[in-house]
Amino acid sequence: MDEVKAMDFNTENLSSQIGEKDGIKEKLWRMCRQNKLAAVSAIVILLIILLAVFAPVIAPYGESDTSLTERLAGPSSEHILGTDYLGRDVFTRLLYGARVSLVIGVMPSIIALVVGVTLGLLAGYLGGWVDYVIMRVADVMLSIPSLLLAMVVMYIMGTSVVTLFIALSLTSWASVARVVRSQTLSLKETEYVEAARSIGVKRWTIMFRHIMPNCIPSLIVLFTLNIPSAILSESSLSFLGIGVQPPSASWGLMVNEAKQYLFTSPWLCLIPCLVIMVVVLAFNFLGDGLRDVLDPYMKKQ
Amino acid sequence: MKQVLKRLIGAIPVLIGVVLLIFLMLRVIPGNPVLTLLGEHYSDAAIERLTLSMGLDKPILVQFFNYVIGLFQGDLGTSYKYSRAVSEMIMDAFPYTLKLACMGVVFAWVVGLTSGIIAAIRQNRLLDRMFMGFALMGVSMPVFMTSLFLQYIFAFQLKWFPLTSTGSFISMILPAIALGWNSAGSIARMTRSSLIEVMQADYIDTAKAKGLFKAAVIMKHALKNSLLPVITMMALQLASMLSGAVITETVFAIPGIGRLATTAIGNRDMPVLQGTILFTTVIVILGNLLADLLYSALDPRIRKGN
Amino acid sequence: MKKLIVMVLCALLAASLFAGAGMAGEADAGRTLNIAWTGDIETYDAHMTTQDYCIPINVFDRLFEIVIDESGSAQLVNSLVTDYTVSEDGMTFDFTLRDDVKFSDGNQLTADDVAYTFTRLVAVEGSQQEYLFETVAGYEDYTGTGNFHDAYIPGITVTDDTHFTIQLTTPYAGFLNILGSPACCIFEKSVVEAAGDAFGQDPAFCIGSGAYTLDSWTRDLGATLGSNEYYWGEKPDFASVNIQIIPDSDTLSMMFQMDQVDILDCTNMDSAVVAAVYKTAYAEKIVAAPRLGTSYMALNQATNEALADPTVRKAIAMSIDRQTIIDQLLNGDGQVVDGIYPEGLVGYTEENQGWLTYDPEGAVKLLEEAGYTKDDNGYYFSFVIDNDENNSSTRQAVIMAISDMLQKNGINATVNNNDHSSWLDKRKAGEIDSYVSTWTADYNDPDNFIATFWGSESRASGRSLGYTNTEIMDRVSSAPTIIDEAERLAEYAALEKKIIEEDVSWIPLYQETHLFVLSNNVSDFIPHWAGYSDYAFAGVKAAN
Repeated sequence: MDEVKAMDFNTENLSSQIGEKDGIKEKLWRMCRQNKLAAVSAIVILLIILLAVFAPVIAPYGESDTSLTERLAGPSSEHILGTDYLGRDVFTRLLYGARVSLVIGVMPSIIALVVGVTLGLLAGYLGGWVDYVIMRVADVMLSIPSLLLAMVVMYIMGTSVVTLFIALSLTSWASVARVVRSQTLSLKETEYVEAARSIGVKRWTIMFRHIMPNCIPSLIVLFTLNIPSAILSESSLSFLGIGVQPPSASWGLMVNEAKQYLFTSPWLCLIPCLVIMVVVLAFNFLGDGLRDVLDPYMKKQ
Repeated sequence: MKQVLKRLIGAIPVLIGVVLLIFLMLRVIPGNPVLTLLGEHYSDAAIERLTLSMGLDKPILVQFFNYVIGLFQGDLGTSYKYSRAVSEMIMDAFPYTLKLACMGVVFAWVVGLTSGIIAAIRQNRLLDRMFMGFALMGVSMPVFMTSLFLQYIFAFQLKWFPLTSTGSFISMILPAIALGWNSAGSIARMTRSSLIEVMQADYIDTAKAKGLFKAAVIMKHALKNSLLPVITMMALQLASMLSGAVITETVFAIPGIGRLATTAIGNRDMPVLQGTILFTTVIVILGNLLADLLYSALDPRIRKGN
Repeated sequence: MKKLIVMVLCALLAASLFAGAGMAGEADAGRTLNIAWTGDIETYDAHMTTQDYCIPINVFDRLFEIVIDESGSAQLVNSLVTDYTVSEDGMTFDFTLRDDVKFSDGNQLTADDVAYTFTRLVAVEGSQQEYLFETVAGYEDYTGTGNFHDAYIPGITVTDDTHFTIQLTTPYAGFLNILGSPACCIFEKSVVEAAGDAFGQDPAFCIGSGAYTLDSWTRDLGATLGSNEYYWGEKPDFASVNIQIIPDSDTLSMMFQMDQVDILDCTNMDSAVVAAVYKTAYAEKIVAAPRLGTSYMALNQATNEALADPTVRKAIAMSIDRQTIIDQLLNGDGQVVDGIYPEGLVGYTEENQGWLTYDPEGAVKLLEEAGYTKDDNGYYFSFVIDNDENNSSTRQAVIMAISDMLQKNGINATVNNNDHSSWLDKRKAGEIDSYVSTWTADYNDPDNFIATFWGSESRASGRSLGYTNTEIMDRVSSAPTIIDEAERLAEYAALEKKIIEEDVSWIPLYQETHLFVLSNNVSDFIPHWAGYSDYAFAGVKAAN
């Protein structure tokens, strides 16, 4: 609890220096009132999270219950969205797929955030060779084509959900680190940090208690925008056969499995595709909305 | 010029890092290139012979050393699977990818900029929604679905374009759209938001007050000031398209760099995989460099600052 | 600065216009057969591949060909050979070659070319086919030595341009069938010698005596075949063949429907799509070729404690509803097999069929009688089915369906996915619990099936079977030396019964029917005798 208080305190402290009055909560409210699109997006995302959490309760069938005699059936009262090539209920798989796809969107973004913030802070605050090494490593990661890099990692570590997290966060941490580093560089020079340093506050404390909280607005935005790109990357990996592995379901995998039935059973492919589009757009709109209210700097970058 | 040189030298440690990383990563991939090459029928003797002839029995350090020496001589190695020089294979594949990426970038720029500008001018009206909706579709759909839909509608049903690509201009249009659409969306969004921001600035009001037409104002003043971030983004996109066309190339059967890399992974054809990743990485680095230079050349503030 | 941008833009546009100039090439006049498939052509050197037979089959000839006769059985017919005799001990073969065969460069095909080619098959470094000549005298001394330039392997002697003799070390009844397999193409000695390492990769050195020549070939793009003006046989209907590589099977299917492809191979399509799109609108254009291969589910006795128990293996076999799999996932295009040999192969016998029926309750009873009890999750035991991602979507669906059937019957069979290379590696190391695959005949002999899997301990472990009965394996490896044909086939039938019905070393699943769809340009088409995806384009008849 203490830490949260400290964060709030710090944010307000700096905000007042910059001349802004609202805290994050107020800004979020302002976004919801002014930006209808972002508000609707937030609701859509919440709804899908709820559906994913309660998937086992809502789903009419088991995740991988096959019924070969009913395969590729159209929507009916028994299967409201029809069945797939093994006779599995599409609605059920869509719900379970939401769990996997959301986790795949969120986990790599969290990993990227933790790694990126830590290294970005170190690079920006310590400077010197630490900065040099960290930023060159980030450059290396950003230079290797991300899909190829993810493929190589998936081949090395084997196809599992955990590997997917790692593969998808490999390049995104580097862009987080870049943003955090540049903000750290500018915050380092503020009177507020100078003051903390002069009264002998430890380096780690300054970095994580004083500088980091001020990066939070940009981080929220980066985090929100990372999620849809991770979801899309997973669908690309699924296309290449190294994404989420059947019999588990992810939306990307569902589109891929159904792709060959586009002419004969179009709903199979179109429904998960539509869901991906809606979710990706929702995260994008929300991210844009957050950027508008939270992050006056990033807009210009 | 001095700055170019400085940047180029700065890229060297990154390149070394990339070579080291790729080499090490590719050594720890499970799966044996010899077995993959031999397929269903194999004998233990054949496995041993092939391992020897590929030099896979030597210690990793020796293999790495030989590889780096080869690199300095412009030798990317020889493909296990095709027994051809990797550099030759890359040069065969690169024209396809280059063409695809260039056309993709042109599509992304033209569509992205136009949609962004129109959307900004007609902010929050029907045209804005239409253009941004179109641009956003590209951002939100999985690439292989975009490709498949384009192929189905414009090649299969309407027969306007060939289904697959032979490398000719016409046959590259659909793949280029599929590849560029995603970037077009990001460009449109960025153009729109930076234009809107600039248009709210004071000097635009001054210009308007001077009686200039709206369109003229936008073209003359607003665009000039809002395109900066967009242009740097575009240079980066060319690089990412050159390296990220794996899926488009697969759907449209284009024998480019992306396909080369994916089949090489499948075959555990390490020299080819190393070569293609290294090659695309160099291109990305050059793209970054170009973006930086463009940015500093275009932005008077930075020029003065340096 | 504006100028710079404009220049960059112009340069890009120009680059995009010219980057691919000269890449498109149209085939010349004459009827062209358009073919497309998903996998790349990797070589034309038949010694260096076990799957890439498209060019070897069409550009080169073999001493014999195998054709399906009217009764539906595979027969060996003379091709480059006009006559041959076999000695009484079954170990010496005297061959007479046709004297009117020329390679596409105009040179005569002679017995020297044959002797050279077969020596190379054994001796060339990296050969994947040398095992075919295991019984030829001198095999041990020549294998993989790279020593084929100066002397021929001792088992082959050339008498004159059209006569040569092959000497075996043991009698081997299936030997002539081996000579009809695509690996035993005849190359031209002088061309192969001149090509060196480029043979197999450089189209300039692809000189054969077959109906077609390899005119151009680009990696990942395809190849064009033209007519061989010196061809000794009947001229094929199509003067040229245009082969395209289309990695995505949905694209391929669309191309066929747009008349851009003349023969569509349905292997990589889901049977439901084939049924909905092709079995209706193209019903009379479908050609069905029985695949001379057995799809099986291997069970490893070495890696999994439960699988080591024959009762368990039997129970697994009884829990799989193969007929439903065939009806639903293969859309009826296949039949159940209960042994090692598929119907149509020499050695197939009705006697060994019909012993395995779908009986899930019986399976549970077997398990409970053997003392197995369910754990907390409701399973008697667990094992992993390793899937190779290169498997066709149909086979992957079969694997998932089997996993689900077993789970419903208290057997926790989970699916683990591997990419092709890792899968091969794991299987070779004998580390896979279970997998589903198909073995298709290379030559029409039971030895090709049974010896591949149970010929020796290392073969059984290299295919992740963990089979250890050495007595049976010795019998398998010595079966080819039985000279009396009836006696030999009886031995193969007995071995099949022991290994499958008693030991359940693998679970026989089904024999597929390989479907092709023809366009209106093509009136008839003779599939490969074993139902391969590669076939002779000379057997494709043009429609008027």
